[in-house]
Amino acid sequence: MTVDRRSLPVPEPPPGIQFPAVTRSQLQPGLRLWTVERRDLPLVCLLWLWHAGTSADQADTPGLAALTADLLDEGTSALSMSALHDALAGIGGQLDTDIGHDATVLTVLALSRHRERAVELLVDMAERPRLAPSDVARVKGLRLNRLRQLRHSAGALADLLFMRRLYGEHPYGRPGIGTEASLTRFTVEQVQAFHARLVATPATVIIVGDISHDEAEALVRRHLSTPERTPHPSPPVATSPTGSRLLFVPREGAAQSELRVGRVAVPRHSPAYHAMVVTNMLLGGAFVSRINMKLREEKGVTYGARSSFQFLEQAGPFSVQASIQSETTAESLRDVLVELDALADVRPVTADELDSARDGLTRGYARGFETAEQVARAAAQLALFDLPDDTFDRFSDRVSSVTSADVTEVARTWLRSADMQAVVVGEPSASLTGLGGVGLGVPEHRLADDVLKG
Amino acid sequence: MRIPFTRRTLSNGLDVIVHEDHGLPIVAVNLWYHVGSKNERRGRTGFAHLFEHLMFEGSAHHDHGYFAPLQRAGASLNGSTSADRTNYWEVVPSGALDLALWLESDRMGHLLPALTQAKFDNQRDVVLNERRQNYENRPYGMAGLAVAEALYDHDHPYSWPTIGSPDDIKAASLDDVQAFFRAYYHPRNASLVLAGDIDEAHAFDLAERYFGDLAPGPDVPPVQAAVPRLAGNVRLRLEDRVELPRLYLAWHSPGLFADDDAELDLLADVIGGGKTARLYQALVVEQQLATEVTAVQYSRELTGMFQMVATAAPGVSLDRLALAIELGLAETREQPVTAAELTRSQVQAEAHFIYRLQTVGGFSGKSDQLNAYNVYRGDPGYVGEDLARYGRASADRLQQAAARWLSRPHVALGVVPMGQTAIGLSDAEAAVVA
Repeated sequence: MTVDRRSLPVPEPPPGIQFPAVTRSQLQPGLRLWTVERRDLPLVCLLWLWHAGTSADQADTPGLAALTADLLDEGTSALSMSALHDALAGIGGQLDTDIGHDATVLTVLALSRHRERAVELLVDMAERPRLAPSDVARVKGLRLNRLRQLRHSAGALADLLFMRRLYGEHPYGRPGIGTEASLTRFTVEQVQAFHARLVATPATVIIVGDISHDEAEALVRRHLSTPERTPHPSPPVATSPTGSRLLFVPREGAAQSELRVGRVAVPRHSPAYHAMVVTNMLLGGAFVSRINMKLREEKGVTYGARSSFQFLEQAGPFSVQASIQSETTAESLRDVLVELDALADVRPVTADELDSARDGLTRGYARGFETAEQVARAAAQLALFDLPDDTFDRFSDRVSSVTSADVTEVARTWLRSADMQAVVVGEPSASLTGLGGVGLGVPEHRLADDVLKG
Repeated sequence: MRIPFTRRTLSNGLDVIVHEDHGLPIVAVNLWYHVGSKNERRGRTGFAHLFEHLMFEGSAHHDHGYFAPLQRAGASLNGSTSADRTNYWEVVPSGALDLALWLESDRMGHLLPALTQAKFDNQRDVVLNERRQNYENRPYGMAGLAVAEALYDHDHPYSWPTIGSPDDIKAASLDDVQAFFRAYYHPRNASLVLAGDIDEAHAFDLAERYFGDLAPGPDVPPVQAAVPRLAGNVRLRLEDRVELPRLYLAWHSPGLFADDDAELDLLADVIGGGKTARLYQALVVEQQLATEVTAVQYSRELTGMFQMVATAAPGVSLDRLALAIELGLAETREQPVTAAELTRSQVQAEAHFIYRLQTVGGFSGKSDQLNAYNVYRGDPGYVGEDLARYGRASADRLQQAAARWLSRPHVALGVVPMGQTAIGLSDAEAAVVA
């Protein structure tokens, strides 16, 4: 039987997805255990989520939360750093430590035949890290070096300056990694005090894989300390400070310009969440989105351009990100601004774009829940933002009901070029040419040290 | 350890491999073409990768972007090019499998009528920007290119990077593309895996329906290259916009699945894998000469490379760092690793194999693994034997492998901050990067 190549096969819509059932226990006040039992492979994913991240830093201690998080795997009360890592390796352990604005997360993926040991090590790292003076000094030094290396990483620098420009002194505007001054200053006592506060922060333990809820609960309970847990205050409401809307960081001899354009947008709990997800999908969230098609597929000036809304406890940023051929920097920035305005006005979303964005999101949704770690991290989103249990099950319906009027409303409210701010890290002569004429005012110069020195 | 599968070869030579996994209502389509940058020649580099880009720009019966209909159907998709192969994959909801196969088969059989100079010029610019973003504008981004250039003879196919040289990319023509397509993009040089929520018989029917009538294509002779050797140690210097100097040490090593490959992989883990590794403990924790250190046995089809990378702590010269690493390496050549070290690395290897079974599609998912084993070993079921190699390794064999391979001449490249050659390797020549 030969193929009819006159038209593309029309896919059948996939079945709706059901997020796996989560079994929940309250282990202590402020400490929950959520599990998802999956017996298909002999592995377990353990995730420890504290409801506090870099926003828990004070204005004069940027980087303390991240330094503390980085020290969790530098030995426990029972094990030296090298003994701890021997033990982790011996259970097939893959450890990740992530810190974001609102959360600190430890993840251990382990072979399920070693699940007892895995739980023990996880709880020990979370609750009883060693925090010895020599380890603190060493890790501080390593982090200082990493921070100094950021100076030469155009993309990372653009991200840091962009967040600082958008948020100013708000906790989201601080460099999570810290500054040279703050990192140099931190003492062992400060780290220990910060950890003492962290360990008394509400937490959710999530375990997904080849283990029953009852066994997981017994294992976690066996190793828990019992601090009283009280929440950190939420970060304040975020607004952008006034000031120059276009920052330029010179990077001599740079092969490209790193470009960031955006603004402070909305928190995770925004009622417009699904409309914004759909809007971003067609604007810059996928390969076929308007901004990538313009800059990559039409003009060839970048390997890829994308946009995103970052949804946080308080209003997170909307941003467009691209690494651009130097001599087209001004033109590309103007193209981005034109695309943003067009969606609100002269080129509103078409029926085809809307269908494509909604279908792309809903029909591909199942892929996001394939691995134990994906399921654990999805559950962590529910825990962190205190979202309803049926959030994922209802996602497709909510997305499907987003209308073109909703998209236009998002564009008019949140995506006007007049509200955008931009950061360019690039080669001073080629990248700067014409940059003052794109409509964001005269570019104001910044240096890496403006955010990194402190 | 096994990934159950059935393989059949269509009459036009296309290998089709099916693996059922009904965990989620998705199917992975994974297609390998046995062509990569090693099929290029000096002066014409970057071609296999540039070609991969053109595969997403439309084909005869769908002369529009490849992404649009698939993303709309809920697919994720991508492709990649290495020295040895080019792969393309889609992960689709089960109901969109026909669509993915229609599109994959159309670009395998009917790409050229849709290929225009305008598309070609656009993607050539995109690739040049990819090179700027991922190599030229990235700290230490050119180091890997300089190491390969020095480690292999000028005409060895692993001496040039898959991304290619800018001059070669600019000089490529539409005629080159057409010739390349005819030589390499056809059923006889390809392997297709369908994995996921699909019935085996139906999967083979679909493969036959969409790919069965495509012309087989010419023979693709295997790439021949002499076993690479270095006459003596090479010491190189590269200045870059970086904060700290970094040392790269590279040796020739066995190729993929060859004798000593698994042993050197385990050895790399013992000395450079994570915070428990010997060199991390010695250089980063105890002596504090380095801020990070890694080791990897990078095995490819023709031959392998054992590489160590260490970033110096502030104020530490690369000569001093190199000496400390050499002391650590000498130990592995002269004494067996401990039983505890070996067991730990073997468990890590086993865990790595198990964790890779979690996804049906994408890079390194089950479908990609089945294709890798089929293309490189002619046996999609090789995963069990692949892992068994690690189980058979012994401390003695690790020591022998270290003694055999890591006492030969090597390349040492020091990357230093602009203008600070004094803290780099002494007696080093400027590295050549195309």
